[in-house]
Amino acid sequence: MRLIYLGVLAMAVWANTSLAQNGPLKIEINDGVIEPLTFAIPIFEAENLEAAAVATEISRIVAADLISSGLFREIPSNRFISRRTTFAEAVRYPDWRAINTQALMTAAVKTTSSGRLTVKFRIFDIFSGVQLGSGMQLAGDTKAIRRMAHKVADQVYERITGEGPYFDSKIVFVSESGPKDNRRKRLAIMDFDGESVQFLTGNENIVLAPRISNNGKQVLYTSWETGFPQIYLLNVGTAGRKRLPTPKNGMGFSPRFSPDSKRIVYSFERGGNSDIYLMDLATARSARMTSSPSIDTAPSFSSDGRQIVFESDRSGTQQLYIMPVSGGTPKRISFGNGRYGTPVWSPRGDLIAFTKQSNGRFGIGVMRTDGSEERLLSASFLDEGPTWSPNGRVIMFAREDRGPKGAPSLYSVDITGRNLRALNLRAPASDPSWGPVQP
Amino acid sequence: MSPGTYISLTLHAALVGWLLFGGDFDRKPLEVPVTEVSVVSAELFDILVNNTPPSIDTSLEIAATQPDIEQSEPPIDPVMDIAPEKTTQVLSPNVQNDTLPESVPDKPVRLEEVIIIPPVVLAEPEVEHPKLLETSLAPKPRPALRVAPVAVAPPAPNIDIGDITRDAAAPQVVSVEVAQEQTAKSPQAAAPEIVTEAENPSEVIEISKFAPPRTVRPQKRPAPSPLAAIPEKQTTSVVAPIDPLAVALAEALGGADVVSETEGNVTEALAPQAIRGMQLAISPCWNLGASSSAVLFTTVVVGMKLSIEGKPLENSIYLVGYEGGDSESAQRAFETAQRAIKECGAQGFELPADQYSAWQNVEITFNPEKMRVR
Repeated sequence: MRLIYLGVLAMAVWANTSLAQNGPLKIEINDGVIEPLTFAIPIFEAENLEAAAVATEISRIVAADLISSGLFREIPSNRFISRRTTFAEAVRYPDWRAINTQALMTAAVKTTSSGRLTVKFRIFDIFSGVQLGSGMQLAGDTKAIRRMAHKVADQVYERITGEGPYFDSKIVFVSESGPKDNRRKRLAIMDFDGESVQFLTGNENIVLAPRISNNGKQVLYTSWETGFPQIYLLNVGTAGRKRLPTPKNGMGFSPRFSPDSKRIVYSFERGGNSDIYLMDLATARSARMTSSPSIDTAPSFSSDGRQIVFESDRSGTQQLYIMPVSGGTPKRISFGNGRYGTPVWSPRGDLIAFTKQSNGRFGIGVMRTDGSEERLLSASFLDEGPTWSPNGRVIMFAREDRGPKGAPSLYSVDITGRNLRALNLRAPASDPSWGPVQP
Repeated sequence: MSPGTYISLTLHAALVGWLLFGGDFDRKPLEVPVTEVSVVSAELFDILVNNTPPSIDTSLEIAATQPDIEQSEPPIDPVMDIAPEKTTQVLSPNVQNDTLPESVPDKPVRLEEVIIIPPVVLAEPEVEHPKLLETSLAPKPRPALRVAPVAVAPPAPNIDIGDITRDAAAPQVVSVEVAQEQTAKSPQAAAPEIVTEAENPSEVIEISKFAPPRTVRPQKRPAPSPLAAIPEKQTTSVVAPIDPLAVALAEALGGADVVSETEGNVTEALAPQAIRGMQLAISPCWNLGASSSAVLFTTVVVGMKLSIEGKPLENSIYLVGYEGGDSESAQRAFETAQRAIKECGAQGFELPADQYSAWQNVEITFNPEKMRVR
């Protein structure tokens, strides 16, 4: 009976507090929708005759970039009601609302005889009836149409979503050819969308695991050029390379840069035992970080450069561990069923991406740096080698098909697990490493 | 014996003889591959043979105990020791696994060939908005005409006490309930068949002649006129507070709006159904699909004013406050919330006009906590 009285009393208090209003009506909304934002990009206005073709190309690249993020959905131009003629013309919001456009981008392109390209643009929130931020203008070389378009897309993406940019970035990867039992591998670099591929090495020697530095100027990779694995440092601008000295009587592999690109961590195998080493690139001297009879490999720096995460089978199965760069006891962070490998710390510092092998399948997943909130983003016959986009929002990885003719290809996925898509690359590729946004 | 028997004996004898003497009886021993293994290490062998101390590489120490850097090779020459050989080549389409892409040597191309200057902020465009904006401005009250130049005190309340004097009422006599005599009814005979009105076509047609053409719905109550002031109560009667059980019952039955009145502050409260309706109206437009991770951790409180039609007034939406993010993510979260309010509130929210004072000002908390796990 006493409980009933208490219940009635609580109900009375709730009713009085929730129903009686003295100030504004207060409402809480905690349920919405997760859908791509609808946007419209009319063909950019060409301010001179020569800019007409360029304007069309840039507008299409910008639209493709935004769509590829999975956060935007383009309204096809055949549904447009409003036909803008000049960049300065006022936006007719009702026309865009009528076709359910949430964001509108207008832009103008101008070229000069001296090879100068100028793009200016504005973004509008149609339903709010306001311009988002200020209009902007970019200028550059007319040869840089694709980069210019990526830059514009980055600005739009950043302004609407609040995420950092990533479209104007490069990805280093291993381009593969030949049969599965005799693959030819060479380093290559491309735009984030698979365009503008350039090879950095020949295909005479097997190369593995390229890792681009945070300034985008250097690439670490492992090569069999001398007959056994050695770590090489390649200059992206000149394609010149040099071998990094590692301790004697062993093999160095799986290198990765520190955030300031001044140090590297790598695995060194001697006598069947692999441990983690730290090298100062200025002096080329190495220091040993781990010492266990197990296989410690695939190290990766944290975003602040103070910790590393690596994989080790010291517990009996392949698991993930973190430890301070200054030394200390590694702490295990993965405890799920299966094997964990190739960990990569997010540029934001909040997540660690990894490859997980479980129940005969491989998948790419992410977890907090303490191992909590683990979730898989993909799963297939073979998914491996995750790499983070510069803004920490997208993960790219290699997926290989089953069978003797199965070829690897590159995929990307949003950290929410949505928008899994294959990169439009016309040849087998593996081991991606995502570089920074270009200045 | 027949010739066949001789032949059979001869062949069997030959077979037995071959089995005994012609087979591979002198088997050679199997060639077992032998790997020379050493059961002692080179260092131990040196100790055993030469009695010299082993040369152990002491560099393999953990960083915590020996942080000194191992010098395995002299510092490398900073000059690139291998000539650049970067080539430019577009990947050939549909490359088969068995074919190699043609290696076309080309001059190395510098990747940093493009210079893009930092963005320049453009000046605001000259926009002829007033004609294009479709949202009306907030209505302004007209100045009221004054009837008298000087305010007059309100008249005394007209209390009509009547001219007839009544006697004091006699104490009420408690009536005694008298049992009415009831006549016994004959038991109702069971009908052999139940026929409802709807199943009698003739009656249905007859009824439909007099039926109204459409259902008469209750009309909306008129909005409270600001001129119709509530007369000041002379009595000091205390209004009973709202009964929570009645509220709960009304809510469960979907009943009418509940009015909460407290002494000295007469405030109308919206029915939970109206609040829920507004929540359901805005939710489908609150799209976090293009929001950053930081926005998904930012709760914003957005205030606004509504017109009597339930439409958000132009330029009345503002950010009251935020929690869980920085100012930038709060701004993005506010833009998303504003978009939701304007998109789904363009036709006006369905709210009771007679309780306009209760929902004229609204504060909506947009909490994305549930959206993070989707």
